[in-house]
Amino acid sequence: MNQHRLTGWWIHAILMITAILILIPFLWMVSISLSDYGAVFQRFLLIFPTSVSLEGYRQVLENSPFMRWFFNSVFVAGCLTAGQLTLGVLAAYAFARYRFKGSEPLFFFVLCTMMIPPQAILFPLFMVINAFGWVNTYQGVIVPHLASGYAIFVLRQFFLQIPRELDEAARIDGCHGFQVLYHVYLRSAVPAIISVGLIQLVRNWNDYYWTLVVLRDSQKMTLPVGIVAFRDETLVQWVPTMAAATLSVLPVLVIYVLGQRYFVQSHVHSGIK
Amino acid sequence: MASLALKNVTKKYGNTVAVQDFSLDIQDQEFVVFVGPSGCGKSTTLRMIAGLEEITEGDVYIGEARVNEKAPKDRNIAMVFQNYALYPHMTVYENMALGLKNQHVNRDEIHRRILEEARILSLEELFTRKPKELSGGQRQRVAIGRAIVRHPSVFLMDEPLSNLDAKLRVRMRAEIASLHKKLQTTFIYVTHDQTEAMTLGDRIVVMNNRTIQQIGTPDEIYEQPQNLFVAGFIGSPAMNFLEGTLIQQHHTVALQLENQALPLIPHQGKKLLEQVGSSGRVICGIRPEHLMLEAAGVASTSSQEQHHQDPSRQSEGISSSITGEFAGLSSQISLMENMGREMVMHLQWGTDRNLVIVGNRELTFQEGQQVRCQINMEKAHFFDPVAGTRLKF
Repeated sequence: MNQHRLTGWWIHAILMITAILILIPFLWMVSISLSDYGAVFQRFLLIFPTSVSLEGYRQVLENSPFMRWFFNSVFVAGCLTAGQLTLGVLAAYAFARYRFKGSEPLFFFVLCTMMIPPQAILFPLFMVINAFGWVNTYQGVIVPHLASGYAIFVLRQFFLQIPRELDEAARIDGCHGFQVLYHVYLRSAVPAIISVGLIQLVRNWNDYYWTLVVLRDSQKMTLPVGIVAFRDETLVQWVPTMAAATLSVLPVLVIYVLGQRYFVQSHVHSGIK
Repeated sequence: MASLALKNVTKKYGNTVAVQDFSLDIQDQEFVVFVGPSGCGKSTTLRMIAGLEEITEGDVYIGEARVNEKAPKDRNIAMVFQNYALYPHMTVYENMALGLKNQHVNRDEIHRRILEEARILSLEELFTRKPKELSGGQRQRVAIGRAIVRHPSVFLMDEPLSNLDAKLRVRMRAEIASLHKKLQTTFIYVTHDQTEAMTLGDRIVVMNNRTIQQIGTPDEIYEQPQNLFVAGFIGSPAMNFLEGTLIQQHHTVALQLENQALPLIPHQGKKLLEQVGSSGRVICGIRPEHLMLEAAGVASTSSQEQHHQDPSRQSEGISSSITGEFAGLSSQISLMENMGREMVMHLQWGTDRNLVIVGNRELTFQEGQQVRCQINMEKAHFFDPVAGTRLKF
């Protein structure tokens, strides 16, 4: 019993240290965004600002097309996440429940897409969208990443856990393919779909390289690319940069907090012994 | 309501045969039970009837229509699964309504039918609950309710009671039997439990090794098993098998078992000799309730046998002889199992051979006691040891 408690204590200690290490850069960012210009260089680690100033936020909102970048980000990340979930659910359903010729090599190919670093295919991908004439367009940003190997893989694994009998019961109850997908898989997999959606949304929201390569026009930029505008060759404007970064993180944070219970929630087995 | 026919149905997965040449005619309103050990092909056959498995060879007819290519929803069947397969995100009412909604039945009619069937199964109180809020028995009743509300022609049940505890299983078994009487629809029921098969089925299909072993009423299956598998599979405790050689003994025929000989009834011996080959080898099968124990001055037997035996015989020491229809075998009690209502005794005889006998628990035998086991030869079954088939006499 005592050893059990001791183990629990150690685990909690490690988790707390990890949480602090993760939180420090975030707090640092918020702290700098609320500081005045001079305070940034006073101390190395500024967790709590010595004096609170909203000057950085004013500068971001007044001197840059921040709201435009924000809505660009909402549009791009929203389209990408919706597309990745739609294609992910359909592909995962097919891989989980249908036997067709070449399904295994095809799924291996899907897994391979997760193993290749995105930077490695940046150039060939750019050549493709250039050939389509999609440079500096949103379809150039969105279409090449509409299918996510990660979403397909995770959803397939979740669908495989759903007892086949549910599927069969639905077919006997008169459901056709898409009705089975809706009544059995989608409604049972809501927690999984939301958690995959959240992970993809954060990734898409934060995507920097691909958007930077494709988009040229400042008005089309998304937040991660736009934030860099507060820096030039000689000077990094830390306070507005951190203010913009804080503002860009907030929507994702809110969505993440609202949806986090779905990461652990799963009720699919309740209808099965 | 519909009759059903399977004609030479075979199922193969690649080169592996799951069901071989299965043929069966099921009458309208009949309750047919497929019984057999795991992997014998009974569930696969049921799934082929449901349309959940493609049929490799042969035909399935529901009513007059060949349904090989029809989707499950177009076969007018309902199925109850072993693990209930209730939709976890739907309430009991929604679970029952989905099939009817898909048939485009109007809302009032759906409600009327669900209420009607829910009354039969006492489900009215559970309408708003989700499956996770139900006990095992309640889930099972909902699964049955979901099936009957659609008024299908054929009910298919795939081991529906195997996830329930023993007490609930007995209750649900009775409920299924009364449901069949009420609905007067064709039922096909898959189980590995011979008690369910014997109590529920109008006819039983015993399967093993992917093929049908015997089709018959429960009485036919129990009283006249057509081969060694059926004889050993149906009945609990299982039938005892004694392998020996038929020998001529004076004017009678006897079964030679190691150093003991069991005299057969005259009409048995003659006909058996005609059927066995020159080796004379046969397997004699005898059910535990057709054995009787005899010690010095005391006799024990199953309750059935006890009523029929001649009181004058109770203390006789019969050595390799026959008195009426009984023949005796020297043995020793190796284990006694008190089953409450009766006593199951394991006997050892010859060189490490065993017999199981069901006896009256009030009789006082002890483990290790030397006894004579009297066999009611009138009730004995004989099988060909090579082919395993029943020998007629």
